[in-house]
Amino acid sequence: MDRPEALSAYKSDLIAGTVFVLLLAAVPFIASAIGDPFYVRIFTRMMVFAIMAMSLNLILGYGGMVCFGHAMFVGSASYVVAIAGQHAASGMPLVLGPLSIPGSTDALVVWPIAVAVSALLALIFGSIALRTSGLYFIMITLAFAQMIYFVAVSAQTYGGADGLPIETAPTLGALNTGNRKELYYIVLVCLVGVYVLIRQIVGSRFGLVLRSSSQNEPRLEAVGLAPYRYRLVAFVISGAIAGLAGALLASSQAYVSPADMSWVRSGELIVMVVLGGMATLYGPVLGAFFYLFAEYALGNVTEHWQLLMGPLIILIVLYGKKGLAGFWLSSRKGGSL
Amino acid sequence: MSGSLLQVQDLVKTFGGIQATDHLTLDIREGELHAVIGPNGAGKTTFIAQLSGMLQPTSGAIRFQNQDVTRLSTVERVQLGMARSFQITSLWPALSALENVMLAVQSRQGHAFRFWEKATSSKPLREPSMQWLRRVGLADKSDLPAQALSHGEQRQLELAVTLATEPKLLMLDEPMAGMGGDDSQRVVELLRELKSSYTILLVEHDMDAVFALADRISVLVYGRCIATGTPQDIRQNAEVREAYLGAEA
Amino acid sequence: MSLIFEQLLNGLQFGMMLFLMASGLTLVVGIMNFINLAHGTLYMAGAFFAVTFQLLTGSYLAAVGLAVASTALLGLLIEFLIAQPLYKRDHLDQVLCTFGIILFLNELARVIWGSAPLRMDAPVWLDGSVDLAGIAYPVYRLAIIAVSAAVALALYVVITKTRLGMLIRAGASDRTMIVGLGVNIQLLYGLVFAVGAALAALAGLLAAPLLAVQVGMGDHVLILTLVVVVIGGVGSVQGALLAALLVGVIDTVGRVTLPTGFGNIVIYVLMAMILFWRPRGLFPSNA
Repeated sequence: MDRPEALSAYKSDLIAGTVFVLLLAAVPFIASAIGDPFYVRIFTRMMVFAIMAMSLNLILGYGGMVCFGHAMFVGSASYVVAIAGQHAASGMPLVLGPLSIPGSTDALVVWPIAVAVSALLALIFGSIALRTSGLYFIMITLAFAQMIYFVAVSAQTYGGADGLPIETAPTLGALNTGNRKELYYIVLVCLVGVYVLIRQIVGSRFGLVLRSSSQNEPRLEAVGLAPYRYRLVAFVISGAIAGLAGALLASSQAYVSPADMSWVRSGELIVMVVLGGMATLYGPVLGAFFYLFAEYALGNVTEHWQLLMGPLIILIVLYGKKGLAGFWLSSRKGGSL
Repeated sequence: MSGSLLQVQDLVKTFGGIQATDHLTLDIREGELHAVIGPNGAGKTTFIAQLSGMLQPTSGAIRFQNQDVTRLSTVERVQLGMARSFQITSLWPALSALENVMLAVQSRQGHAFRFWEKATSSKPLREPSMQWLRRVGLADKSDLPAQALSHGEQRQLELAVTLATEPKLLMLDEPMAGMGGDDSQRVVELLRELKSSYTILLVEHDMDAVFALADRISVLVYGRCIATGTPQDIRQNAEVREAYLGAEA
Repeated sequence: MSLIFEQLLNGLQFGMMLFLMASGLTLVVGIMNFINLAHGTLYMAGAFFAVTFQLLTGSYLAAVGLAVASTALLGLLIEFLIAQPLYKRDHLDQVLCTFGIILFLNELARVIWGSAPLRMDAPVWLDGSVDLAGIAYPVYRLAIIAVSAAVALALYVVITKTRLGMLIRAGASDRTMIVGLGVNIQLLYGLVFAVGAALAALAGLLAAPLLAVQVGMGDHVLILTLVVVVIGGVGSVQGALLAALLVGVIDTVGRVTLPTGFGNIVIYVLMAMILFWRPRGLFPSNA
């Protein structure tokens, strides 16, 4: 670290972050103490969504790519887990042409595959979508997500529009993701891990190119760097992390459905990223927590909570663009990330 | 032609009814500082845009190191060694001055695709970048975001970013535009230093700088090159005087 | 054979309806550079208003007129309150705000009309079917094609033969230019938005007797409309027509002829192919 202000900013962030993680780690104990396991479930969900939002922030906040189909990467991975589970339960393998793939409830096998599937989808769709920009990019990502959504809706063997329950939770080594507490800590570890990963990427040379591509593309070409490949790689990484969130989501819900990949879900993810503060590391975490909290809080007030959520989003976009992270950043000095 | 780094042959660019570049032919010799001057509207920036690949000519050819680059993209040309600076400052506003230069350096060094090391802490990246910032006098402002710099400082940063790509041919589009006396002087000194290591194409309005630095000067009028020669020749050229003095009188 | 012919007609009808949606949206996006995701809710509003007005007045035609007018007003309200502050902002902000409008209007519709789907009957004088090349084709669907074609013709005349149309074409290809022409931009933008809303309402109420009128009915149509706008090229009404017919026919025929999963996704594959070859659509308006 070079400057004293940057160092103290780094320290404040580190302290705040550590406190946050410690508080999260304490939740299951507090929930046991008060005898209400609900909190473990909802915080698990918030953390999973935080991972989703962080993955989207990489391309949206830092890379300036307005992807309106991010939920497809999450949902696809969830379905991989659910499908693997169904085949394991029925004992019948999945037949894909000449391949016969047995089911599995071993997370060590299924989760990497789920992540790989999401990454592959990101590669295929990204390579086409990134040839367009602006308006067209938004629309094409939306349409691709719809495609995946419809594939899920029409897949009657896997529940169709009703979705697919996951009866046997995957096991991660000695841990059982069906156990709420064990899942909670698995997700917490993933949350911290993803945060550190994204922090590394954003600060690296690659991250520098990514951040610059959204600010001034012609200048980037003028120094000899072609933005397309950096964007595509960022897109794939983002898709992979979203896939991880999807695998975690499957265990968290014990159920997957096309709703997990609807464009409404994609829109909500964008709201979380913007709400939390784009192009900041912890913004998406704050955004996800806040959005889900609002959803539950408002949902308890009225079933028509979207009447309030809609205008709230509009007001935030019109008047509070810097997001929640903006408040934190302006209250402590120095540093930028 | 031997010793010719860049050859522009019969370049034409038409926009609808307007001919911005009208059969422009000139060549730039290796090692020289070749200035391009001309009254406003002569098509100097359009010319640089075609040289850098941001604009496709209607017809004609551009050869760099005897290779036809007319159809190559900007990125490909930069990788071959042709780099330009922008007349209207073009930077990455939210990134620091250091990060701005680093982008050029990491492109030059060929390792922009790395994920692990923190860019601003990396020595092989930081040191050359700080060097360039020092040369344009911005070393003490390295951590400021580019948008926080004054206009003159942004022009200097613009120059540093272009220089950091270490091209074989430097194409500078009015680097001194909007600069005050001291800053201009600094740029002239810097260019004088750079002359010995780079071939430079300099588009400028500042005549003192041009006549002080140029080995050869080409004069552009209405998209055509009407004269090329040493500063002496150009000063004495009747056609040039008419075009310039006529335009300025 | 006659099945295919019938499906082609259905595709034509669906395509014309998509054209009504897409023509308005492509102009809003092309001229105001405004991504209006709420366009689908205007379709829904048209349908709901039509059902209600028909119940209130007992007259189909009155219901049509009132529904279109009400939705146009709703469109103006949205334009004034939300679109105007966003014209200068980036697409992300527009996407988020119009997404917020969708959430709000869908829920509002649920509060007013409930979650159960409503029925709307086609007017009696459009009942029955006509013998076309050996098949009995519903008069109502033919009426949709006819009305949409009339609208397309009217749009063509306005856009190519009037001063307003010239401003619209100029605005779609170079936004900043029309400001310089001394035109009242507020008025022009409001008008384009309102007309877009009216066309969406028309599409919605025309579709109402064929589908269920329910909350969220605009969401799927919106996506298809976006696909049409993107394929046709932003800002181009003729592109929207061509693309709408293409999408309408391929989607309808695809759903019937291809196995379930594939039928649903065939137009997205089509869109991907077209964008791969022409990243800005078939007839992009901007140079």
